[in-house]
Amino acid sequence: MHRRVTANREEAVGKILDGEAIIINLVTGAYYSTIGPGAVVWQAIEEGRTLDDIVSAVTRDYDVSEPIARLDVERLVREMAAENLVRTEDVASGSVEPLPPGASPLSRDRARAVYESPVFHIYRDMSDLLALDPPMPVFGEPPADWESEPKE
Amino acid sequence: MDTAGVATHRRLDTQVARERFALEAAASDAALAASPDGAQGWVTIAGHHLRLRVAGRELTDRVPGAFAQVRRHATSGGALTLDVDVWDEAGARVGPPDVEVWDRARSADGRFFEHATPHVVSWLDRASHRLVARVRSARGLSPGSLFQPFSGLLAVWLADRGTPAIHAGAVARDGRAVIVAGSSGAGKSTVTLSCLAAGFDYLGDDFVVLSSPEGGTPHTVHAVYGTAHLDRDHLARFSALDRATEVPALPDGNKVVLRIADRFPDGFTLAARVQAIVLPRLAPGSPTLLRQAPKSAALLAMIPSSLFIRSSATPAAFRALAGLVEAVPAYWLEMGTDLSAIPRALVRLWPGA
Repeated sequence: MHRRVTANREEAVGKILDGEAIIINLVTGAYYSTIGPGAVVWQAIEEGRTLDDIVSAVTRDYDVSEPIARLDVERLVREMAAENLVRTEDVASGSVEPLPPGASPLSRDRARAVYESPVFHIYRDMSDLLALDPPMPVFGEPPADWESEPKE
Repeated sequence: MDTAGVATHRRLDTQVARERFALEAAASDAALAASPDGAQGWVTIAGHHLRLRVAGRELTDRVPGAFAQVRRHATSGGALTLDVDVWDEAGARVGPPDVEVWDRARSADGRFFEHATPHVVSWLDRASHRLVARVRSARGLSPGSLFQPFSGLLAVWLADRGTPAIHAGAVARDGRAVIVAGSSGAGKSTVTLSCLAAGFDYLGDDFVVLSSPEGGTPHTVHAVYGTAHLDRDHLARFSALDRATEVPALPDGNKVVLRIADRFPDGFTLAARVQAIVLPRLAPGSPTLLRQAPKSAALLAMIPSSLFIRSSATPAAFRALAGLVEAVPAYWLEMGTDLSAIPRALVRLWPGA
């Protein structure tokens, strides 16, 4: 069994720019950033990788030992899960695509980069503002025929 | 997933919202039918048409006059049209039941949106493409209080069309624009108005719309409103703008509204291709200078107000914003106190200028 981590696409959307992952929670209004190894982690999460593969992606791109990378990845995933950005599930071995060989597109070259523990920055300026106007916990899907409804 | 407005609007039962919209729409229809002095005009934003109908003598100049360009007749072509009906409740002496003074609500199914302020109650039906706005009392309005009428609901409808509104200004030269982004107070109006005074084309200081071919590049920025909004104390620094009509935004406030489009028709443009993003920062006592900013800094600077206040917080709106940031370079503009240095710094973004 492996633990797979996926992005919570119901609420979270992210983009990696210049090696920095920018993520927003569309429900709470909070938004986040994490650079370097943190962006590698987010990219692997968006690909639906297992925890082991995420750790491998970090050690492949950065000069860091597996135990340290694992500690940091698990912490980062916990922080993201606490913000409802990711989901984890146990999956059977062999049910996940293997990690492609070679450095990820995020690493500038094939040399392993200097490692710094990833920091998960949380910005709550919007969510604090929106707390005055509480968000809705559940949303229905819109009717499929909306666009075809004629004008009255 | 339909998350439009999820984070910013309280939820209304869908049937209740449907009934309230029907009441507002019926009252609007009655007011328009009974108004001998109403006005009608057409506005085009990023290729989408608005049919603007206004009932009430006090509103017939003010509401159309807030837009960058209003035509008297429809443009040929089958583009989808948003019907925008505005009426004066006090003038009509009839109206639906009153609602909370300040409110932002959305039906549970996401179809109906309501925005209420002390001055205006507005409803949008995303299915029938209709926006009705009930001005509580046109006579009670301060002259500048409708300087960006129903911008919040317009942003929802424009985001549905794949053309999100962003909380940013824009100026252009030779058909190429820079987006001026940042939170309120960052200096967007200072930058755009100082550029207007220096001969740049103006597209807006606070609310513009983006489009791109099927989510690709290049991005085009579009003007919506023909106004600018700034502190009265700052207005004295813009002597070149003394031709603009100046009206107070609110009776007790320090903000004033400038009607730019009607007084500077040669300095206004409706659309231009985006070539850069500029993030102004006040740096009193320092020389004004431009330096490259990380793309991530530009996206972080634009997310809060563009996505959650001015636009519709959807994955598509986020991707549009991120796509723009990815496509063009971003710069910090450190602003000293010399306004004329701002356009001199920015003009270097236009090759050959």
